[in-house]
Amino acid sequence: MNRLPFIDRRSLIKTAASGAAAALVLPSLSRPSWADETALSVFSPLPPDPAPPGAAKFSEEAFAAWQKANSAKVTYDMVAWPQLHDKMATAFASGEHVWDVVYMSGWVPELAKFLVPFAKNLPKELIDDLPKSSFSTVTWDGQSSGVVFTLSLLTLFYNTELLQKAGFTAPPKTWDELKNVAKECTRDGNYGWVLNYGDPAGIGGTASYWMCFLQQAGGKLYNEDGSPAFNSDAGILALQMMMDLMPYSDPGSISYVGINDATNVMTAGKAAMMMNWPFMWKSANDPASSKIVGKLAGALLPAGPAGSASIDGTDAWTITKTSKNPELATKLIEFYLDKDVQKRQAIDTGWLPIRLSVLSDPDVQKALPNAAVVLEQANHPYDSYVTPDYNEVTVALGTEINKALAGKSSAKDAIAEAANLVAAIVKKRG
Amino acid sequence: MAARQSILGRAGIVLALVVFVFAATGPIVWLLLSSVLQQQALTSIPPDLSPSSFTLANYLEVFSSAAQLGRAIINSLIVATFTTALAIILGAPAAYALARLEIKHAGTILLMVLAAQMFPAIVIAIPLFITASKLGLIDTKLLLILVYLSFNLPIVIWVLRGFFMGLPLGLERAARVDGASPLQTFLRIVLPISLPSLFAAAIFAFIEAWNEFFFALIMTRQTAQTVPLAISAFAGQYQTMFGQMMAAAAISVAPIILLTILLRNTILRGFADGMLKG
Amino acid sequence: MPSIELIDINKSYGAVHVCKGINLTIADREFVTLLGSSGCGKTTTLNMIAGLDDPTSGDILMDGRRVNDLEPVGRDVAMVFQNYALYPHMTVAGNMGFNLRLRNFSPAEIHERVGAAASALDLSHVLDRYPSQLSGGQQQRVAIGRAIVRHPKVFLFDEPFSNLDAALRNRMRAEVKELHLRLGVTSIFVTHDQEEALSISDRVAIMRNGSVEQFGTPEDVYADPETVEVARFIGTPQVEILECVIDRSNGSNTVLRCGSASLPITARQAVALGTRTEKVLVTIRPEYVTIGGQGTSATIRDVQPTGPSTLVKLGWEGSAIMARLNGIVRLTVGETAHFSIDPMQLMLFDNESGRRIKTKS
Repeated sequence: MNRLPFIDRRSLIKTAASGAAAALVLPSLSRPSWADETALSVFSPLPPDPAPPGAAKFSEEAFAAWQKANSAKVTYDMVAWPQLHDKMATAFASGEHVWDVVYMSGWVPELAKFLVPFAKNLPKELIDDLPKSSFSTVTWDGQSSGVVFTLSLLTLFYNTELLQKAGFTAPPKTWDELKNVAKECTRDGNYGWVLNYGDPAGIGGTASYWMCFLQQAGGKLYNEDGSPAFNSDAGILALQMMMDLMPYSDPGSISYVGINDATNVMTAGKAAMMMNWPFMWKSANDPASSKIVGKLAGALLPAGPAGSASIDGTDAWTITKTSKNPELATKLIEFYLDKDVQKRQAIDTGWLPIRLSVLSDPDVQKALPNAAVVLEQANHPYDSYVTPDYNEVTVALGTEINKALAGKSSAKDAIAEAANLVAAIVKKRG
Repeated sequence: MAARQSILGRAGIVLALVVFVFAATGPIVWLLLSSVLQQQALTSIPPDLSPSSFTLANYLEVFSSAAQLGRAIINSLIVATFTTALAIILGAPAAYALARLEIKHAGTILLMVLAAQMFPAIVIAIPLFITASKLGLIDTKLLLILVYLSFNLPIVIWVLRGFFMGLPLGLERAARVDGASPLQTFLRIVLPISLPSLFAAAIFAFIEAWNEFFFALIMTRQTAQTVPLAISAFAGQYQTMFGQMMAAAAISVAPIILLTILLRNTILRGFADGMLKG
Repeated sequence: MPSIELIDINKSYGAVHVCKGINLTIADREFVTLLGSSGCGKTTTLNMIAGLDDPTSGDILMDGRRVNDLEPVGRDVAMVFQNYALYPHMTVAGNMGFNLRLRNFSPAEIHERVGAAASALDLSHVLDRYPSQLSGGQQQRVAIGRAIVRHPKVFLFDEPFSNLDAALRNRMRAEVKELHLRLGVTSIFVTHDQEEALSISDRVAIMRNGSVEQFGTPEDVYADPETVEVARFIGTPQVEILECVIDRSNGSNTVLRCGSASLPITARQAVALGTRTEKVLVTIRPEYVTIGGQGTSATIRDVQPTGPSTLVKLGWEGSAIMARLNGIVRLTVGETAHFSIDPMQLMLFDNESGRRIKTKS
């Protein structure tokens, strides 16, 4: 989620797209084989980011069997996660058919007009097995255009050894405890707390972390009418909490590029606590990349005045409007969400399932001790507040929050200024 | 006194060269070092350089997990070589014509050439994508060659035009008196004495094509992926595999370094010839 | 039939008028020098004759045929450039044979012609070398060799010796002159060095500000300059120009008052001056000034022994004059001396136009 803030690029893509639509009417020449009747093209991130069977190494036999049974030929087009958005935005804007099934992460509202609202056609048995709130980030204007395939919520990760050294046997459960543990663990060149604050925008950017604290403080980002609701005590409290943690954090974290940088500090054993996504569990327990194997534990995010709350990573599958085979594409997504496939996804790749029944599966919980924590976190509120202009909004918010974190502005002023900026962006939304 | 001064002078020169060599090779050494360290050794503060931290696993993983890199290197070699060759073959005559021949509206042509490459990539990306898609060129090396040519050609034309204008007129006049046509003058006199600049322009074009990322990302799927894309594959959303990324980068810069070393003698000889007064 | 004729040639680069109505007629086998200081249009004129530049107006004729629209190769001219312009990537043989290769001569004939030219120019032992491996004089000879292998109708030389040292320059002059005598090819030579021009040419065209001031034999332009500028430009040392008032107060015996000194003139000169009352410009070659005994008194300002002669600068209020005395003469700067002139040799010029006031003979 360490996207560069391509604001200009985004607005340019939109402008260029309108011109381009009229620009070129060329005769279609040869049709490549991927446009064949039984071919399905899938746009996915490269592993180790969440990828489907055949792209990542799990359920490969089942995948082959599914293709045979449906006389389908699935081809994967994969790029590294940070490149997904620009590539898909260009392809969508061109109006050309490129893929049938496309991975999304919080971009559904932005790109909804290019997507088929297929979620309502999914079997009831499947929908009932998914967390209801998982649909909030793939729904825009009342239409659900995607289905989340991994439960990816921010939870607390902590280094048991460092906490013990500071005299703690249990993770912090409230904000006050969090501040105290962070303070006590900041010793011997180690930090009590680490997060990346270098990139303001996107899910995993500074603004998104603040949204966790905002919900924990009992606030919300938008009113029912879409206007900003965060210029409130809750909004200011949330930011103040982040500022209060700064003395126990790496001062350099305001220039970390992405969560990778914070994760590396944590896995190097130099920080006691952080918020992170479930995927961290697997890499932090790999001796090749981690010095804290066996020392990592997970917990609910500490509760603020309104209890615990989080945001979700919203990794979802969608179907493009240019697809010639939306029914087959729907079936493919159903296959991705098959119970067995979901189980192998969890055990083989470390990406948690989204199906509640698989999350509670003993095998899954045994392989991924963190699954129980994430499942419990899912019982508390989580909302990433994605909108078509999510990137602009988080740039505006994150930039003001970073100013406050760097000590250049007070929590109150930063939130007030951010509210002004977001109000202007929302107004443009119309 | 003079001897001592010259010893001091020599020491100064040697010192300056040592500093220069370190500055030039430092990043490459760091790249190579990073590529043979385990991730946890690399991300330790300070990096853990004990012998047990060193590993060739990064290279093995790069070769085994991403068979893409091998294909990407071949793709990049083909794309960069053809781009470079075409840019020079088309650019050098154009540059010479604009530098020396009396061409109507030469100024306008030059401005158009320059303007052609002033459009931000993102503005032309979508029209280009539609055109390429209609022509069935998406995910082909030909498309990348054409796209890279479109922004390398103007630069090659401008650079070489500047060089050609700086050539002493005498040689061309002598060739004209000797009875050479403008084309003969260009081919038999101007080109041979312009080798250093041609190589400089060629290396520039090659590196541009080798490193280009944005259009390679937009215009390829899997089969025409180039080196920068293959390297970017090691930087994901939650995890950056620095060691493997560095190993891939080390493998991918090798051709460029090799190319420069191979062409070094030609470039130097070219310079020596070029030094002679025209 | 004249070999080359320039008729009313004008050349402008934008607003800059470089050549202003040049007319020249060069005879077959003649060796002509275009002489002038830099910017006078001499090289431009040469380039137009070569076909490297197009005149803005006017005609260039060769053997009576208009050649304005012909390329250099069509005019059959060969040229030696100021900086030699040797092709650095070709050997000496390659340089000399390039024009023959372009005209598809057989390798045997190229070999023969290049060999002949090389032996004539003492280049046979360096045929395989590259220009950067040659001395300046050798490079110069290669440039000449490149011109003569073609057996052209006209040789053009653009300040070919300006990069050589004095000794080499003198030798090359002699070689070129000898070459011209031997080959008998019409040659046009551009230089800013008047001594070089006088020593090498059949005729010299002295150019100034884009025009030909005078076109004549070395003797003509030295002894009989048509303008004061030519008088000043030709000859070493440069002559002093005196501004003199015509004094007819002494009846028929007209004299020139030049500052505090009076110079006598001949009756013919007095006639030529007619009734003009304005000042005239006057000069005399130093060899017609003698020192000693009687005459006008002046102060010795400078003494330059040159070996066969001694140059003396004599001054008086408002003017100066040069004298050339035979042999080494011991004189002391600052002392007073008496000089006299040969009035026959006085040259008078119009103060306005600078043109010669000629006596009728």
